[in-house]
Amino acid sequence: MRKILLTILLAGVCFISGNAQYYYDRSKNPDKNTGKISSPKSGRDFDRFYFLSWDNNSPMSNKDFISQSSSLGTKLGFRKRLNDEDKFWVGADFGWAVYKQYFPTQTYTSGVQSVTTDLYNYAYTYSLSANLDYFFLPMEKIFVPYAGLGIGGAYDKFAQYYNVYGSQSSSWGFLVRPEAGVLIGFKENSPWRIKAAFHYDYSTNTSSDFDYKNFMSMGFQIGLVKMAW
Amino acid sequence: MKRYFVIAACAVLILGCEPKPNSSDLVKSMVVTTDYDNTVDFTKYSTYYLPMDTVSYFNSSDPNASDTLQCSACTGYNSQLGTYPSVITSELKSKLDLTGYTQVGKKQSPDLRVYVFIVENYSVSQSYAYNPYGYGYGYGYGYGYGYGYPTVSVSDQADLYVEIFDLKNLSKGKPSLIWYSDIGDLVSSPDLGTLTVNAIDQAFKQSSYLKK
Repeated sequence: MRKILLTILLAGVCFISGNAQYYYDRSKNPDKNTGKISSPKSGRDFDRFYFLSWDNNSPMSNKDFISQSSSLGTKLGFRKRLNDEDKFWVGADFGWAVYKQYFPTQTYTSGVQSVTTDLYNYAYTYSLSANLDYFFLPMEKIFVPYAGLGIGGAYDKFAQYYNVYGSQSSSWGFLVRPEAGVLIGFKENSPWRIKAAFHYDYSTNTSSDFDYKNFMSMGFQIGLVKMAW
Repeated sequence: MKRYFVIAACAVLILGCEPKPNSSDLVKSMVVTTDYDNTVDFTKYSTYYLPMDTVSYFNSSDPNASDTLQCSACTGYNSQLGTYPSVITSELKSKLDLTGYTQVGKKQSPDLRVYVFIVENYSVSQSYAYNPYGYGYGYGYGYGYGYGYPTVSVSDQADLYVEIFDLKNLSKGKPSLIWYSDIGDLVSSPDLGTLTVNAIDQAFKQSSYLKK
């Protein structure tokens, strides 16, 4: 009886350790990955990435204040694979952009008062969002298109400078940012990639002083991605 | 490699923090504000009085806050302004003469009194109101866009005020303010004399109702 019990215990320990080995390193069991990770990876199994992008934006709201596009902006973010599927990745973005426009000297009249000056209008926007991206192809491909949605908060500051004088106002708002783009690797399963994406930003930031009822923009970002595991 | 990536990211973020216009571009011309009493018919005036050798001066740091006359021959506070007061009054006389009004002496019963003064280092948001005749309407900034009170980006700032009072139609026995112009900033101006003359010209240009 004692020998039988020892034999069962030994068999159990071997079974458990065998399973543990399987779950510890799934990449060594490609047959078990069928239907999950789209195909066995030839290199690292990247499960997160970081990126820094140059962000170009065009304002879509209150163009009387600023209508010129901005090439002064960046986005910094990271993504982590949601599960073994290579499709859904979650993360966060921090972005900023500066919009500016110069209005040459002209006379503004309101009632009995007239003012002549040139104006420098500025809008400084900062955003922090939680993001969910869906990648249409396995991440080890060279060309991986995706679509995503970011939701978060935005802080906008609007300012007007004339001579040594100036006025400004700022506000916080709720931000929604749909985005579509592509990651382009330098080779299959490349650790460094190029990110190119279009995004549309809508935030509820307002400024009664500068007549902003919200802040909307369309942007194109291009940047560098560092894959990690 | 990741460390360099983070350093580069931080550098880009910091470098991009809230750029502002170049200060030398900002002060290439002065801001000119004018305001007037729209119940007044300016064509009914014929003569004005303007002292040519004096410009009053107020400075928040002046230990003696009373009027200080400024002219090339004066020795009052900030008398280093030299001929600048004469530049102002000469240009004002030139523009007023073009409107059709005639300059006369103080004792020749002028219809209008032109009062010129400089205010330095007073907070813009505090607004400055001065009336040598005891009352009038106060004024400050705002510039008519509904943008609220402005801030000032420099530690020293000065404005030139030109006021015209009606001596012909006294209100409760006192002259009333019927027009004023606020011109600034004088301190940051790269070419004070030329830009002041240009600003005075602009003040009259945007006040086309000032004519006989």
